[in-house]
Amino acid sequence: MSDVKVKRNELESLKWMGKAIDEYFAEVRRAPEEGKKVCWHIAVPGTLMTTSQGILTIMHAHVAAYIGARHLMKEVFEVSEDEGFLSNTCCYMRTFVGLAMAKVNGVKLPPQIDFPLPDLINCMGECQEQFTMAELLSHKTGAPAIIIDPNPSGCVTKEDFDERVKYLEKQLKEVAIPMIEKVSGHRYDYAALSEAMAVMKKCAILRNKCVALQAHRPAPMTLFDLGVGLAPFIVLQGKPGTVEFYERFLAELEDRVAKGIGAVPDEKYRLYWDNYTMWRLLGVVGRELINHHANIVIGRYPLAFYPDVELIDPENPLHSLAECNVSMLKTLYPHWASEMVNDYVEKFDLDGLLMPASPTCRMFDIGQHDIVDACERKHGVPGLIFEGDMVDIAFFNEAQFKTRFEAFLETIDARKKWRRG
Amino acid sequence: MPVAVKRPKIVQDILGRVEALGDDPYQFLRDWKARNDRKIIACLPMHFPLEMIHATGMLPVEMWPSNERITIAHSYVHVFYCGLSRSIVDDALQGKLEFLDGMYFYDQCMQARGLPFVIERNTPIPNIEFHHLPPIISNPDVVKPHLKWNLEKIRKSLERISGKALSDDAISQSIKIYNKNRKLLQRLYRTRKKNPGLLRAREIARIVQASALMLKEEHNELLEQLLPELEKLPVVPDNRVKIFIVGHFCHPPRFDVMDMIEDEGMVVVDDDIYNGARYFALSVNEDVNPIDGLADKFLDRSLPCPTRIDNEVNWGQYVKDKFHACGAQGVINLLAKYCPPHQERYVDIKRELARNNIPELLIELEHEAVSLEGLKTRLQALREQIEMGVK
Repeated sequence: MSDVKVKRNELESLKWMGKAIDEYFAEVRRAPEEGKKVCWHIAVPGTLMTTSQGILTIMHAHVAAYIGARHLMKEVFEVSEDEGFLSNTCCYMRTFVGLAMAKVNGVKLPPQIDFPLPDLINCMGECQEQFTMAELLSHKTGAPAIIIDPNPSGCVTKEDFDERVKYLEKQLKEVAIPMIEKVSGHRYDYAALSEAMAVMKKCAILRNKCVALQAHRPAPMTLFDLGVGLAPFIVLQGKPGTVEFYERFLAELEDRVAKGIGAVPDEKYRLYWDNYTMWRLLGVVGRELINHHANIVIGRYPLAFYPDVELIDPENPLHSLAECNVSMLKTLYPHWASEMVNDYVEKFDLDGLLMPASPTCRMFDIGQHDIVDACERKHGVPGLIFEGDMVDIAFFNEAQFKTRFEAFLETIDARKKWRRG
Repeated sequence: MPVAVKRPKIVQDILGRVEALGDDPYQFLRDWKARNDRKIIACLPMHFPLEMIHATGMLPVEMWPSNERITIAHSYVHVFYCGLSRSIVDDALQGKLEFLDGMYFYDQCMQARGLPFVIERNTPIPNIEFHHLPPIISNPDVVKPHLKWNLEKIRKSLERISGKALSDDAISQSIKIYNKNRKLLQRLYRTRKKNPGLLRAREIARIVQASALMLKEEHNELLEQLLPELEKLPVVPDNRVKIFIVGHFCHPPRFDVMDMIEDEGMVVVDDDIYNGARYFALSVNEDVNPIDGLADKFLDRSLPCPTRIDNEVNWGQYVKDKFHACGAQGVINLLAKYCPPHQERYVDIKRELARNNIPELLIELEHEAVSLEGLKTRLQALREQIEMGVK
């Protein structure tokens, strides 16, 4: 294991987030005794469909990230293996279904990941695995499931986009809302949804300003900081304090830019990160990065959370939610990602692409080889494709990563010299 | 182990033809195209409305895995993608698919989504398209209008590629031809069920695979020659252990493994694999508008598919019921390695079979290599377990 030789500049404003999540999870744990309903949500979009209705909601990737970052997955994976899951099955599925089965079977879990079983499962998934996860959870816990198709097929034309929005809105109205009403026991409160959406829009506007600051040298934050700050787009959607958090976050970043302080001291390499954030690897990979004065400046996944603020329309919440979701899902498609990466290389002055690929998740990683190739041809910027996983450390080889990462940085150095002539 | 029944030459010839076709579809299709001067469109297997392609006069074929090791594709797709997706990319990059006039993909699974990007960027194959066929069918009334919108989009695409209008009447005619093929294949399975020793599992799968690669009229003709000959043959008592195979939901399993199952003293009496009973299980209603008919078949919930989400399906119960219906003594799950839809459903299948003391063996099949010796031992153990009545 690498020693940390260089220390990252931590952001003071981010500390609020850990506390807010811990408090929220504590509230979720108290839900049964307080007579509140709990929803297990699967997908990036749509948590505010239930959070705005007073249904306490946990989200699969968020919980898995929480578990992965705290190295608590062992107990959960043991349960999922007992259930019959093969080890290369989606790590989020093994985590979320494993958590549920631990509860169903009376297996004792560490208290911080012990959540009440769901009263409702809500899936607006981006992939087959998420749909299946909802189906399995419903069968195993007996909770009803909303499983709707946000149509993540990539839109080619305006006509495609409009049809997909229409289809998703119809599903929200005819499938999701009636089920939420049934579980919550009251009529759907559209005003509350609009209110939550208005708060989220303010957060998204501020978040986009934070992202834009990453174009500065040195970049004021790492992509992982941005990842930690995503909760206002997931389970804290529309919650009090989230706008204030983003105001403090933005102010701190602006202050850093004004003073020339980077997240990584003496920033030397500016990199792009493809795919999900691999929470379980943050320590290992983070140490390697910082010791080489490398920063992950920008990436694909955190920008899949409501990037198109002009589409967020609290006055027309269901239609807007559908538009946002169909638009967000373009990030999953290599055609779009390839163009985006080339754009980012220029906009954020990137030196290289880090392309993690997970054998348990195929959401982002198809086309990675071509995305790297296109970028090398256009900008002379190299990419490093390596295997890892968001939660399961078994798919990551630390020694191999270190060797390849060092060679990758040498390639970047050579390319930089070549570009300077 | 050879079949117990002596088969006439015409049967042997037809089986030889389908074996050769499955072994080298590339040459067969190139020859077909040269002979007929018609376009060929390849589609991902399972749910694409092939009848619509057929109705334009073009030949629809369902993509298949090659018999060769994956080579250059590993510079373009990850090694942990399923054999079929890597093989399609490999064949395309090696220029083995350049006789195609188009390739249709749809969101069959996660791996399928990105394939058009890779193939379009790296090969000269024209008309690479991706279409949306809804992956969730739990609410058919909500899904159907959107599905029909997508089918109409496919119609427009086909009209552009074929250069001619695609009428409802033409689609209806094709539906009739496809339904006839389904009926003939159902008859083949009934014949095999009565007389399991008649055909090897490999031969049955090759016959079905040929249907996915041949013009349907030609395959119907082949079946009309084959079936009466098979039906004439005497029923031979078969004391081998009866097996029901499940899995390989979108492409043929490895034929050497199917041979090994039967060589180890077992006989496949029925299956739930794509190049098997799943291929012809559902027909299209001929009494309604053809687009409605195709949509209704897609939304038919009587044949669950792991890539189409239906919250009411209980996979364990489904497999158990099929197993009991065919009178088998054990189940073999043939899992294409890195096929998430199957491996996620396997959890329920395994549990339900175990709960009911039904002997079961999981075989993960990789495109490149399977440890045949190890597999042989596991198959022998399964057979002995069944013969000795071990629960």
